[in-house]
Amino acid sequence: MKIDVSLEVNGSTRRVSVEPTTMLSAVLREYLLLTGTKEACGLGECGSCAVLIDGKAVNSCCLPAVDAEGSEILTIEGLSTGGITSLQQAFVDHGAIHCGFCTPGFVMTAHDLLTNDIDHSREAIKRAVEGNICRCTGYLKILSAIEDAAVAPGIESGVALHSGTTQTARSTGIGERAQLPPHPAKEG
Amino acid sequence: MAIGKPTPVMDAAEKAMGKVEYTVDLHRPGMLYGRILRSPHHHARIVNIDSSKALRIPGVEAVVTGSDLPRVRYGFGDRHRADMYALSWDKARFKGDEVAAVAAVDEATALAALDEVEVEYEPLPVLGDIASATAEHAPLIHHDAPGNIAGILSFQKGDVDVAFREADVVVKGTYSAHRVHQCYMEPVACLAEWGADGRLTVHIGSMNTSGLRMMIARALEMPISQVRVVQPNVGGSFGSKVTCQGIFPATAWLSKVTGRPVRTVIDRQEEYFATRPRVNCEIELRTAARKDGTLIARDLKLTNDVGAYVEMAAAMMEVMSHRSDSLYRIPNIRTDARMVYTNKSPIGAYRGYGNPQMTFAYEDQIDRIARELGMDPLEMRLRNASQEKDVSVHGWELKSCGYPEALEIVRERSGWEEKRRKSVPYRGLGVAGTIHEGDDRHSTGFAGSEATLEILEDGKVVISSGEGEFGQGAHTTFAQIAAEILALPVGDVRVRFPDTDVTAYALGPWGSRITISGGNAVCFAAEAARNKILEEAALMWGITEHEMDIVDGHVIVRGRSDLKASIREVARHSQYRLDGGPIRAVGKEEPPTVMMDPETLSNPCSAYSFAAQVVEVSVDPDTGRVEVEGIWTANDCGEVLNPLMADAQVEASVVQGIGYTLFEHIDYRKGHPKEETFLGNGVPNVYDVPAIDVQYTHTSDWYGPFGAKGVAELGQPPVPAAIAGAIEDATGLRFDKLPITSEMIARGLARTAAEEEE
Repeated sequence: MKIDVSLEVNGSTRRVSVEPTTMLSAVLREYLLLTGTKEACGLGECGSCAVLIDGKAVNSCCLPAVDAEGSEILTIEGLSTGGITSLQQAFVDHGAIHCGFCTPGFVMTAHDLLTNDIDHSREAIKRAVEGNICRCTGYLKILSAIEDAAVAPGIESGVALHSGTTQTARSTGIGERAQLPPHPAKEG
Repeated sequence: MAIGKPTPVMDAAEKAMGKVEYTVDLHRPGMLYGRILRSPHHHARIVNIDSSKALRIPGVEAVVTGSDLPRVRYGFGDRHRADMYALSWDKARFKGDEVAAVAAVDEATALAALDEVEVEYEPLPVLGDIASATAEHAPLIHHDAPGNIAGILSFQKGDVDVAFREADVVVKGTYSAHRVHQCYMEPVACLAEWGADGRLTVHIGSMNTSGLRMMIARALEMPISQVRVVQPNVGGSFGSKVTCQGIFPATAWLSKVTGRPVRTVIDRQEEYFATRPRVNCEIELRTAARKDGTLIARDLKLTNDVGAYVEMAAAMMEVMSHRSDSLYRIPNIRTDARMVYTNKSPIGAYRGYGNPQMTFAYEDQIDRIARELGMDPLEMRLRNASQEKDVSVHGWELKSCGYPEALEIVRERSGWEEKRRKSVPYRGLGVAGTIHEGDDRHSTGFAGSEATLEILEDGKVVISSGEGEFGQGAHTTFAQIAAEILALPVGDVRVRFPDTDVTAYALGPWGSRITISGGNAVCFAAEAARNKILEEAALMWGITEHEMDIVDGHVIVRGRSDLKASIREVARHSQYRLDGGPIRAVGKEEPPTVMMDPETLSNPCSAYSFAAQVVEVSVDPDTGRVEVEGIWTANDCGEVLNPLMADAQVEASVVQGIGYTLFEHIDYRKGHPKEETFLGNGVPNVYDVPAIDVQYTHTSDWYGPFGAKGVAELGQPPVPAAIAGAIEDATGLRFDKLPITSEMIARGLARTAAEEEE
């Protein structure tokens, strides 16, 4: 039995007719062709499908589309409508993107942290992305990217930070790589 | 200068914005959704398949079974046993074997159809592991493989028996290593479009378009010219996405019978039980040394559990059987290796191609000899380490070798000597090294690479190479190489994704060959294009015998400041003048290597990479839980072309290695995984990442572009042995079985405590 659902996706209203069991990720990807949201496990274990529901990161592969009615859904496409954000640019600059399949999920999850939480310490970042799996980078470059974005001025153009947001100093130590001595390839 | 500069992957910004298309993202008008019906039995005769009920479901457009497809067996390339059908029709050989495929208007309908395809099975005895498959009178999984032996390999160099008789120290051990999944994030998928002209196009997120074209053509008995394989962006592979699983020919057939595009995406559970994880193996190893620590002989017995079909396992057995012998100077070696069929899923490549398993065993024995002789294990390695210009026991020519330097670097940076001297309870350090092939020759035929480079009239560059990018940054490396030679910004170079209708035949990015082989081809093409630009400029200006150069995207003439033109102007001039034409050049590379021959000496690789690692762990004495406190790595990958990507390749490999050593594990019960999820099989997350120090040796290789060798497979192989050594240093317990779980350690510590009480 299909149900008509009206979803607020990236600022516009989209009507779809879905089974009660159809997950939001499937609606985004297969009905609305918003394939920037990825699906890698279908069980909420890897965070690839994270989207923002009323500003909070949610694994869309585990959220029935009917339950998203009445909420504001923001996907990676919606986040990127004004061009690349400083958070996304930090992912680029830090080499935190290889195959890129997990990237939209990490970006949405980190965006939630940076816009909704006041604690942007390395520990807080780790807590935030604990449910995101990346196989290509070994996570360190992702952590650095988010840390960098957290201290960048004017983070997330177009998206207001909650009032009272403060940025804590970056932690060092575990996970930090030591400086490389000069390599012959980089000399001269 | 592009080479040596930290460079993010070319399409990183588009990826960050979710704008690149992977196979799973492809849509076509009228597209159907395919799904694969898999055997619920480990081993069973297929008596009958009835699709009629499934076909009556509204929205189900087709069901195909093995009897619809050409009844032809195929294998991985030419060197491997042809033992697979696209869809099994005679019997299912593992729980997950493909027996039918359905196409429906949506995913849910396709899944519903799977439930209604009625297959009558006659279950057969299950041979879930090596022991049961090799037991006397075990039934045969393949009628033409007696004893369920899928292949053997034996060879000897030197006189092993004499060496063992003359040795002062002999250590022996039996090791086992488990299966893990590559856990690339994008599941295996394809989109097949059978054209009205009878030509088949399959979009596959693979790293082997040419090979897949050949295998799909074989499975469907089509001429190769009728098959086109296109590679979209790939969401990770780590060596895995080279095989031709039944999903590809089966989806093609669904498209043929429906006349519509069909996309099939498998789910994560299928990934675990039905795709191609890392091989599990049993290793019996003996190593002999003199009392001064000099290694003199090795004797290996290796058994690989290859599952239901051979796939690429023969090449893997070959590599596993001889690779580690060239890390040290050992004059006498013997190997007896075999592959055993079992009712598990077949196996595939995963970063290291058997290297982590073998390094675990080989490096353990170095530690044990060192202990017997009272030597420092790192010193023991240095004493025996291969050196630059060595020719190893197999004839491998180590024209560059940074292994000794790598050991020195990790000794220094980890504070090895002080930490090893000062004993802290339940805290310890271990060391291990590895050698890896770069561009290992697997055929006597063409084993090189070809690339085409065109400079367009706007001065921008397009490279066509069939080698492929699966997220590891190959295209970025190619762009850096071309940009360096043409003195252009990296952003002015675009690299096409492989498409067998457009890009040349290519072997693909396995065996750490891409930077070396594919990179050299790009290098040659760029150099040829550069010459054409210079010739064209000389023609344009009507000059001869002048010293010309390209600087900052402009052709200049030494001593003639009046003559200067951008590459764009020169390319335009060439393209539009009479008798001109596009600036286009082909670069072809063929490695000067000889395929490995067990009996003789041969040099199969263009280059050999090396790495050393020191790992520091702490162990919780109550729970046995291991915390990796830090990993110091030193890598000999020749010149580092892109430090940003090289660092991450090492970091990611190390993290995968930690998972592999301590907690990632597909736990098979009667040949089927107990768990079929990321969490159930222990994939590392952000909390499992220690401090990782990534260093490089000062090595430059003679062959690869700008002195480079492969880096991608260096990080993982030493990790298990180094962690095992560190655990021993911390607890006195040595483990010969992977993974080394908390439970094993806790039990070992309890045993030690009980022994001490007695």
